[in-house]
Amino acid sequence: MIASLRQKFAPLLPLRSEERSAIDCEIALELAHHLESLKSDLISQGHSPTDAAAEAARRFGPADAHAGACRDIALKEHRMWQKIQIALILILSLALAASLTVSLSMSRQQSALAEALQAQADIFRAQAQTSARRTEDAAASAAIKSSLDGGVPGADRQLQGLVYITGLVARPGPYSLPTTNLTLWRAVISAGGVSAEGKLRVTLTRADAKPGESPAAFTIEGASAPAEDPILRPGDVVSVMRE
Amino acid sequence: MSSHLPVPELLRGTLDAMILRTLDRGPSHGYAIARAIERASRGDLLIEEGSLYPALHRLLKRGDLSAEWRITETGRRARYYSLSAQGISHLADELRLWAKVSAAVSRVLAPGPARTDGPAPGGLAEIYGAFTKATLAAAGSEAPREVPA
Repeated sequence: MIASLRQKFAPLLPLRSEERSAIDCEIALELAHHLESLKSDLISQGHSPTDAAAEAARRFGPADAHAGACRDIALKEHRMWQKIQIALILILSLALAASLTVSLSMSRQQSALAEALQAQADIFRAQAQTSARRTEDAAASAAIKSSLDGGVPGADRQLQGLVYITGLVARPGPYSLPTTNLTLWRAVISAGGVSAEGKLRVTLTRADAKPGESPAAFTIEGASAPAEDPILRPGDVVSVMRE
Repeated sequence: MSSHLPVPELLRGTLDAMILRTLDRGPSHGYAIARAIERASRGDLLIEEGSLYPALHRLLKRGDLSAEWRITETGRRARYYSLSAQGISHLADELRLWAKVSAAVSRVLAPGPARTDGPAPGGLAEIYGAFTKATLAAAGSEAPREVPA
């Protein structure tokens, strides 16, 4: 079974070296038989052995070339199949190299894409943090506004400018001025109240104060409101200091 | 008897046919085939004897021949070739083709009506005479004649 298959596909199988040398040996034997027979016949016709050998060689023609032609015929299929095999191997290796190159460049593109996505994600995260901070800021300013509104939720939140509260208060700084009237004393309370004991002096410098004009001053003591409690206007500066 | 002629270019393709025809008489080795062709052509055709072998191997590969190693009468080992059924069929094709071609070439080369402007110059008349004789002789020979030893 295997032997008959081997015989059928013999031209497709690689030729073993002993098969190759058997073919060469058969050809050499066959040609040698011819030359020897021709030489013997020529000698029997009266040629000298030297003449007979020369004449036999002349009539036979180039023995190497004839042997080569015989070998080519015997090995034709094998040679052709070998060439096909070499061509197939070449094509396969080229295809493999091409696919490797493509997959390499694809993975490089993928990693570049991943990096880009990562960068995008970082940007989004940063934006989210910023917006969270803004939300916090907004919440903080809402709290401030609420406090300026006297802590009344749902009060008119419309703002009309800033007033500045400095000096001996718990939270000095700029405060948004609500549309509802905010008095000097309520502003001080919004800023956390006074942070010192005893008699204190509160000055109110109006935004439209003329140069050289001395600010209005009020004296307070403890938690009681000053005798006069003017309404603040945008740009006013309120300072709390010791007498 | 003319001297040995190398096989002309035109006849090269007929080497296969001559080998098949020779082996139709029975299995034979390369040297015997060369001698048989030489005898059958009465020594007029001289093939380069080594060129028989590529032709034999080609016919063997094609399946027209089979081959086996045997011991000759002289005690040498020789490869004997014999015709396969396919070889016999190819020989029939070659014989038909050769009959057609050789008859056609002979008709073209054969002496025609005498020239109107006088006798053929340069000894052509003599050659025409020899040609007619040879053609008639070939037509009369059924089997290849052996050269007397």
